[in-house]
Parts: sequence; C-alpha cells; structure tokens
Amino acid sequence: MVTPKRNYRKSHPKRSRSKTATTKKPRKVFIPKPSRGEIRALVFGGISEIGKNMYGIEYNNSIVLLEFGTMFGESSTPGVNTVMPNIQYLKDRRQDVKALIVTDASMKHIGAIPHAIRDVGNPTIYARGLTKAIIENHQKTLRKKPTLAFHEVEQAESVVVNDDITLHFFGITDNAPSTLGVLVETPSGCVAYTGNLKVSHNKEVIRAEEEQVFKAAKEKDVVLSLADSVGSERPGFAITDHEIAEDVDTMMQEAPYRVMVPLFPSQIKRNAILLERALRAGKKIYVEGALLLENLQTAADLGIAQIPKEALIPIAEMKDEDDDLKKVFIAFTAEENELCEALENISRESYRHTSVMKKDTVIFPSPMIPTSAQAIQNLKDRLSRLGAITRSYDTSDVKGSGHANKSELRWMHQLLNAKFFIPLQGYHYMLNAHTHILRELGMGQDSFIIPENGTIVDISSDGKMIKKQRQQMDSTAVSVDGHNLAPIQEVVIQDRNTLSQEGIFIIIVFIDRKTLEVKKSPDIISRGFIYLRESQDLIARVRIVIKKAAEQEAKESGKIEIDNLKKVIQKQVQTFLVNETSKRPIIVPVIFTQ
Amino acid sequence: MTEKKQRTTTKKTAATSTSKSSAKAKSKSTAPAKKTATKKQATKKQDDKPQDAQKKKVPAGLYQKPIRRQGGLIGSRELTSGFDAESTLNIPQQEKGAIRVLFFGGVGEIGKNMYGIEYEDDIVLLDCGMKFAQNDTPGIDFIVPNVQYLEERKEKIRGLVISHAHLDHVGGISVIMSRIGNPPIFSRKLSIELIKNRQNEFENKDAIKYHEVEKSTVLKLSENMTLTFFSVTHTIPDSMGIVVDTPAGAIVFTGDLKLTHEDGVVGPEEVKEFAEIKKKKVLLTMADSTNAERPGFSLPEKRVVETIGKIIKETKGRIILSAFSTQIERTIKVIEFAIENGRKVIVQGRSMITNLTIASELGLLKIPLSAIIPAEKMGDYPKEQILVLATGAQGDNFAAMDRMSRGTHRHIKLDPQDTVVFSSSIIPGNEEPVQNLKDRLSKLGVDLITYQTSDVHSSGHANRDELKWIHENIDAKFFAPIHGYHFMLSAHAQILRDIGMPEENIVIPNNGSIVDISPDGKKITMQEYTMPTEVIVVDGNAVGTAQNVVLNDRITLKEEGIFVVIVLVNKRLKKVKKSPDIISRGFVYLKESQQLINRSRMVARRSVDQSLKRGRMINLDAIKRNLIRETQNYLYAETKKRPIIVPVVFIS
Repeated sequence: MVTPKRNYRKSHPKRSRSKTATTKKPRKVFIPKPSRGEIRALVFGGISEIGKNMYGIEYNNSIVLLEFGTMFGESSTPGVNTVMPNIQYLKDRRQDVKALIVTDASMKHIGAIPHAIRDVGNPTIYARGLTKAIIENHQKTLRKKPTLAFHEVEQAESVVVNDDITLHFFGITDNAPSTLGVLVETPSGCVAYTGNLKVSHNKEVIRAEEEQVFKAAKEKDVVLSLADSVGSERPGFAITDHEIAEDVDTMMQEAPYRVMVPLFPSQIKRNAILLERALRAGKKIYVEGALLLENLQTAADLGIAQIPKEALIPIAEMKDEDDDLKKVFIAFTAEENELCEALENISRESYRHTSVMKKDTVIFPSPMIPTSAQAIQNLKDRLSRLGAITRSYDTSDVKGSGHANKSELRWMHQLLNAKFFIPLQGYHYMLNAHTHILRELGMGQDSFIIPENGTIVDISSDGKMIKKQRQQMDSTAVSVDGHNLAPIQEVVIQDRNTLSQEGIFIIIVFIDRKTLEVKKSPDIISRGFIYLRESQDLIARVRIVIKKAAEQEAKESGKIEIDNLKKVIQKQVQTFLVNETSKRPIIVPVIFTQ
Repeated sequence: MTEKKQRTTTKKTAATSTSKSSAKAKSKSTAPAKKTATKKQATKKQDDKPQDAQKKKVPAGLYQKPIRRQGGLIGSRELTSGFDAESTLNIPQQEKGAIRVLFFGGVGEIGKNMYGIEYEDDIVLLDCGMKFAQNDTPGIDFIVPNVQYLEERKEKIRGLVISHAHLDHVGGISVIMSRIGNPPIFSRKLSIELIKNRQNEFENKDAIKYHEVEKSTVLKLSENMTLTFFSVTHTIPDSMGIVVDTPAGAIVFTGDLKLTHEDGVVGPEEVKEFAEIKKKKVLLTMADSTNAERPGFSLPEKRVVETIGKIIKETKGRIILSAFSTQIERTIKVIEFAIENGRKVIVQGRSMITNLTIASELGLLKIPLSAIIPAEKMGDYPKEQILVLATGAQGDNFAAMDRMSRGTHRHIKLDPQDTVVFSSSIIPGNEEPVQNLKDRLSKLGVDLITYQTSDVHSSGHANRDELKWIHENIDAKFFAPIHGYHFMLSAHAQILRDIGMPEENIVIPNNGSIVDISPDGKKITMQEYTMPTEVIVVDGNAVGTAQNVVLNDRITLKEEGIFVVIVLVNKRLKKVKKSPDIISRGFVYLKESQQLINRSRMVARRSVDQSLKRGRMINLDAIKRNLIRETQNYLYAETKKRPIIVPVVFIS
C-alpha cells in the first residue's frame, strides 16, 4: 500500500542508487564447517514471515534439510511474485545434503522443490504419500520438472542414512494426512523437528494415539527441539477442520441457491471433509482449476476423502440449464496471494463457464495472507452487487488451524523434554511467545535461541552448550519468477516503489560540441508522473529550465562534461518539478553531443 | 480510516508552504487574514503562537514546533477533466414535493462519505469525506467524491452538516468547498475546531463560514427544511446524527454510531434520544453499515477503558500506548489513569498533540498542566513513572511508533522492561506493515499487548444487534444503508428485512445513485440515471478527475518497470548510428544483467535497421512499433517481465 512512500521519498533517487550499489556487493563470507561432533542447526527462511520455510541440520559431513518452501512477495516488494530461501550456504556443500524432509503439503513447505532441488544436490525426499502426490501434481503445472527421488513414509519408521544420521519418523495421525514429525539421531544426540504438527484432540482432550506416537520420541535423548510457532500466541487448542466444516455446512444449508466456495488446493483434509458433507447433502459438485481437481482426486485415490472420483465434475462440463440450482456446489481454486482468479472473473462478468446469479451464496475463508484482505473486500463488494450472498468463515489460518496452539505446544514440549530449543516459523513475536511456553515449563534463559533468517546455531559435541554463530548465512530472498533464480535486488525494488508513486521523467538533450548550445528543444518522456496532455505549459517551462541549466553549465566549464551536466540538469529539474507539482519523479537525463 | 492521515499532512515539502500549528486553530475565522495573505503574514502569525499557547493554558508537553506546511493544496493546479463530462443538468428534476436523496460517496467502499438531500429548491449536504489511495491508485494522496451535480446547482445548497470530525467525513472539505460555492458548515464545537485546524493547511480557509449547533438546536435552513440533531456514541466526542425535516417527511442520517450498552441493555440516554426521533414519524433512515456483518453487540468502550486502566495500574515499567489520535475520549481517560497512578505523560505524534491541544482548549481535558511533559524531560523521571502516548499503531512510516521500533526515535529507546499497548484495530490493507512493526518491537524484547490478546480496543461502529435495536426504535418507513462495502450494505438490509420491512422499501445505493421518495411518501425509487462517479484525485499539487493514463502507467511501472531504447538513425545511410542507448528502471538489476542489455541493444538495432530497409521513406511510427514489439518479445522470453517500453528514435 502506501507505506513505502516516505522511505524513498527521503532518499534522493540518485543518492540511494550509488549507495546501494556499493553496499550491495554479494558478501562472500566463508563459514567453516562445524567441528567434529557438533550439531549445527541452520535457519534458511521462515522467520519474521509466514512462508518459505527451510531449515537444516548439519553433523560432520551430512546435512538433513527440513522443508523447502516458497512465499508470495509482499507489497513492499512489488513485481516479485514468489520468493524462496537463499541457499548460497549449500552451494559448496551439495554433496553433503543427504535428505530433504517435507512435513506438509502447502507451498510454504514444498514450493521451492521444482525450482531448486538440483541446486541442493537432489537429495531423497522423505514425505508421506499425499505430500508426494501433491508435489508431483504441482510439478505438472510448471515447466521445470526435475526427476525426484522419493521415500514414502507412512508408518512410524526408522531410516539409517549413514553412520552419522538415522531418521526416526513419527507423529502420524489420521487427522492431518500430510504432516510428519522426525527425530534426527546423531551420535551426539537427537534433534526433534515436529514440523506443522497438529495434535489431534477431541474437545480439547488429546487422544491416546497421540500419546503413543510421542512416546517413541520420549525414549530418545532429545538434545534440541525445533518447532512451529505460528499458533503460539493463541490460547488453548486450534480449531479442527471438522469444526470449520461444521460452520461451512451450516452456511451451505442456509443457502437458497447455488453454493460457491473457494478452496485452497493444499488444504487436503479440510477440502475432503467439506466435499464429503456437500455430497451427503446431495449436492452436485463442480470443480474449477486443474490443481484443485487433481489434488482432490489424489485424496480420493488415497482414501483420504470418501468421494467417488466421478462425483468431481470439471467446471467446463457445467451447463446451467441442466441442473437443479439448489443442488449445485462449485469449488473454486483459491490462491494464497490473489485469492481466486475465477471468482474475480465472475465478479467482473467475464467468466466463461458460469456467472453469478441472484441469491447464489459465496462462502469465503478468512484471508490466508494479510495482504489479500483488501482484495477480498473488493471482490466481495463486486459479487454482492451482482446479487450474491457473501458469507465468510473464520479459518484463522494465519494464526491457528494447521498449526498447534499454546496448549498443544505445551503438551508436546512436555513430552519431548528437550534440552535446548529453537522456535521456528513465524514472526518474531510468535517465536517469542513460543519461548514463553518453554520458560513456563522451566527451561532456562540460555537454553533457547530465537533465530533470524540466516542464523547458524551450534551445539557443542558434549551436548552442554548451545551457541549462536556470529556469522550468518546470506538471507536475501531469492525470486523464482522468470527463468533465473536471482536474489531480490534492493535497488530495483526501490525504483519500482518510486516509479509507482511518483513516476519517471526522462530528458534527452543534444548539445553542440562547438557552440556549447542546446540544439533544438530537449525531448521529454514521462510516465506515471503527470497527465502530459493537460500539462503542456509545465512541460514547456521545464524545457526552458533544462536548456538554461545545460548551457550555463557547459559555458562555465568551457567544455562538455557529461556527468556534470547530468547532475546539474537533474538537480535543477528536480527542484522545479517539486515546486510545481509536489512530486519527485525519478529524473533521468540523457545527453548526446554532436 | 483515521490514523493514516498523518501521512498526508506531513508529506511533501513544497516551496509554497505555510505553516500549520495547533494554536492557530484559535484564530477565529473572523481573523483579519485575507485570502491573499502572503507567506510573510503567515510566518508572523506563527511567531506569536507560543505565547498564545501559554495563554490558553495548554500543557507544555503539548507544545509543538510549527513545521513547514508541506504540499497541501496551496498553489494547486486545477486540472480540467480529461473527459468531456456530460452536464448533470440533463438529469430530470424530481417531482414537486418529492424528496431526493443523493449518494456522492461512501457506498461500496469505506471512506469519502458524502450524501445530500434535495427538496424543491433546497439541498442540504451531509458530510464531506475523503479516502486514501489504494493499490489501484498508487501515488495518489487522497480521493474525494465527484460533486459535479452540486457544482451545477450551487445556488440551491443551503449548507453542509458534519456529523463528526473523522477524515472519512470531513477530509474532502478542502477540495470540495470552493467548487460548490462555499456553503456554510454546521457542526458541533469540537468538530468545527478540528475542521478549522485542518483547514488552516489549505487555501480556501477563510472563505468558509462555520456555525455551531448543539443537540437542542433547531436549525431552520429554509422554508422547507428544518434540521434537528441527536448525539450518538462514537469514538470521537461530539458525534451526532441529523434529522432533516421536510414537508414530505423526516429523514434520519445517523452518522457513525454504536450504542452505549451494558451486556446488551442500551443505556437510558440513548433510549431517550431515540424515543425523541421516533416521535417525528421518520420516512427514511440512512445508517452506518460498517459492522453489519458482525453478530451481537460490540464490545463497550467502558470495558476497553477498564482494561487499559488495569494495565496501567499493574504494569511495572514504562508504558507506551498507541491509539488513533481521534479517539480523544479514550486518550483523555488514559491520561487520567496515568496521573492517578503517578505517571507523567509524554505525547508523541503530531495529530495526537493537535487533537489533545484542541481538547484541552475546549476544556475536555481537565488535568494539571504539569502532568504532560515534553519528551526531552523524560530523563528527569524514573522509567516506571512514564507513560508515552504515541501515534502509529498502523505501521505508518515515520510515525512515532515506527521510529521507536527502529531505534531511531530521538528521545525514546525501548528496552525489555517496557510494555507496548496497541489500543487500535488494524485497518484493512495495513496488516503487513503492522505485522512488521510488531516483529521489530518484539525483537527489542518489549511486552506487547494488542486487541487480539486483550480487550484494549473496540470498534466505533454498531454490530448487528445494535443496528436492529436502532431500527426498531427509529421505526422508519424506508431504509437506505450507507457507509460500507456493498456486502456490508446487503447484510444491513437483511437486518431490516428480518424485522419486517418490506423488500420494496429498501434501496441499496451505489456511489452516484439518486433515490426519490414520492410526495405522498408511499414509494421509494432508485432512479436509473445517476450522477457522474468519476472520482476526484489529489496527486501532489494536482486536483482533477482520475488521470487513468498516469495511474495505469504507475501500476505497470510498479510491477514491471520501464525500459527506454534510444536509437540514433543516420538519415542518409538509412542505418543506425552507433549502438542504441538503454535506460531501464525497476526492471532488472543492470549491473548483473549486462548480457541481457547488450543483447537487447542488438535486438533493437536489428529491428530498426530492418524497418529502415522496408520502403523508401523513413516511417517513424512503423519503426517505433516494430521496435516495441521486438524488444518486448525478446525481454519477455528472457525474463518473463513486460516493462513499459519507450522507443526514442532520432533521425539526423
């Protein structure tokens, strides 16, 4: 939104450029390997943000990676759609990467796999069957299709990777069909990583199976635990998918005509429950979007959703006149960053397969990422104008559900009883809240470390000390748009912000080398600055300012110094334009001599 | 819709600036300053301000140095519309004796509220707000409604009534008043002071005449129009609703409101107030829909104040409390609590200081002058005796909160003993900056209390059950929901249907809608014709209808950047002279994309050379067209980006 405005306004475009150009040199910091017997925890991303999770555990010559996700660009980085963590650290250690463990099927955990799995040495991916299927479905939508080596983990099982590393998987309950917990066992002790673990509970009483599952972890000597903090601020237990479905079900029953629901393709379990309920209510289900359809079919195949595959009808086969409108249920593909393209088109009355009719009910989930809140309001506004009834249910996705809440985390930490702790995933205040839970359980101040992106933490080989390294990995986010993976350049983003608020003003001047006079009138190109057609008078006056500035400077120095000339023109035009318009466009002078 | 204002008020430094200051609000509109007041006079005025402030017994902690007034609209350029707007005089006049209701803005959006009621030869305007730029209007300072309909009917306007002084209800005054012939403004005391204060920043301040009204005032605007007022509960004192009485019937405009209640039992004052209205036989209600989707009753302000009181009492270290500056009542309560608990108060943030100054001048803030101290004096007291009131809980850049979180605040450095309270909700669209602000604060180790974890804020708008109560008590024949997105209006309309209002008595207006009520009061119709809705935008010094061309460019620039190719052509040889020049901003990082740039130079050169070979004459347009197309294709293939491509071809 408007926020970045004054930031750059303060910094003169030119000054900021030269400054960043010097500071932005890629810092090549040499980070030594951990000494023998030390356990090193690496935090690549996922801190002070929701998304692009990636962590690692390094022991001697082995690295186990945990998650490999992406995140949508924020409003402060316009033009960047998707970013992934910076993996510079792994560049020279590719051969050390032994495993990649993925504990959830959302883009926040799997997004970067197709883009960069090769850059981390193409390790075996450990995941549950559903996650595997979703990663494969996701790859189908992309051009990049690296061959992946999977190891499916369905049961609690142990895998010996090499002499140093043994993986014990656990935490597998029906409730969340993609989540996975892992114990990474090294000769110096175990590291527990619980990922997006959700503890299944019935009315806040934790089920016996969960206790069972965690018992395995309890028996090991856990030196370090790493856990998700997204829900750590919320008291009690997270609402379950069943409770959410209950809500939506009520709205579905109240709907007089068709029901339209945007669904996130990665929310397998919730979608399955919703559709099961819709089927039970006798609805005819249409599905929009290839990825959603494929994921739903996968879920049906794996028996996670009790839906016959033929009940899912692609929306292209929809014919309004054939159906009993009261029985129609349309599932749209929702995207985390722009909510729902198809609904967007429907709201603008430019969608091919259907249009909104009066009294259709559109049921929205609460926004996944905060930036889309305003977009949703506008979308709801337009749909409402067309006569639709808009409802929304609270998924508390940003805050809870899908992530364990306070009481769940507390229960889990009690069982794990780790010596050291690093909170992961989420904004700093969430991590902070998470350490509060541990402190309440009696953990000492120096037993946990609140990391940042790029943090390296070492645990001494005797398991007595935890220490944050002074050196950090480069944590500049990497953009995965376009063909190349490139770190986001501060300069370009700053320019984009200025351009979007103030516009650009390009001046082209021809100067006669002999007479030192400006030949003909300077050319001016301006975009996004002011409406030129109505500002002819202003432009004419700018031309005079430019001509005067250039000629005076040239005559004073007696020769043409392009750099100087540019500076002078830029300065004078800037002053003039600020006075006249109160705007500070980027000014680019171009000088030709003849 | 309240706190973002600071940004506009302190934005750009224009040379043509005068200054604004708190105490200046004092100079009554009768002050001798003419419209042509020179800058010198303006500066002189500031000089006597300190004494002025002293005289008025404003706490020293509230004194602020006058800043150079930035940007504003002084010396603004009025842009004529780029479009040939059709005259609104073609809009048919309503039937004689019919009431016409005009919706200029505020429906289908949050912000820029402005409504009008027309009866025979009289028009009365209700509120005149502005709205801030959104994602689809980058760089714009603010937006106000289109008032062409009024511009062409200036002589009919009897006055502008302001329900309360939030910017979404008063922000448009500066731009709109001069366009509609500066009609007199009617409002309550505090609202008028706040408007005047804001108006000091603008050119036409002396042309506006203010008239104070009170609850008991019966304002006869003309033969056919009589106005009465009722006070309502909102987050700013002196909020009121308006009843417009015409021979055809009465219309109630609620303004923004909620109810004062205890567990759903509405307070006696409001019961009385609304009983008074009911007597009038109301024809049409226009009411606030912001929270119409939320069930039940809203959290009463009393509870909020109690919670804050408890926090202040129980917290050991320094407290930094951030609230909307317009929450004057709450801030006053906070200051009182602080004093009770032996704390000194420091006020940070321009708007907060301004509003508290006005409040203390009007006698709303009754505290010993020594209780509010300037930030420099903070060191004289132990930290646990300090409470800082600051603006900027919306994550606004350069607000006090923002600077504290970045450690760049001149006087206040936060440490882990501090407690930060955000007594405000998050305005939609600000979620990201707020999260980042909280993130930074958390890194400093402070204790953070927000409305999500504790009852430290409640909205100023009525929830569903409150609205239901209001409508049952007004018992109007017709209803038009206002103030909110269309889905909020729909939800509001549903409430009315639920209490038995027939469908045909409800209209859901859009911006620009014209609604007529027949002279016999039996029928309400939304006309098919509408007023123009092209909004007026304020962009730096320029005021005009949305300059779509520029805005579209800005949106593309923001996402994709710009790529300029400059080619010199030798006319005689019909060949490109030397390698084309390339200027690019916001597209790719040039330093690391030398190869891309070199190749695109070649692409450009080849494209122009080829175009030159075609045909004997040099066709500049064709050259440019081809150049754009080929460069664009090349860049898209390489980078998946579509920057704005500007070809510049010189022939010599």
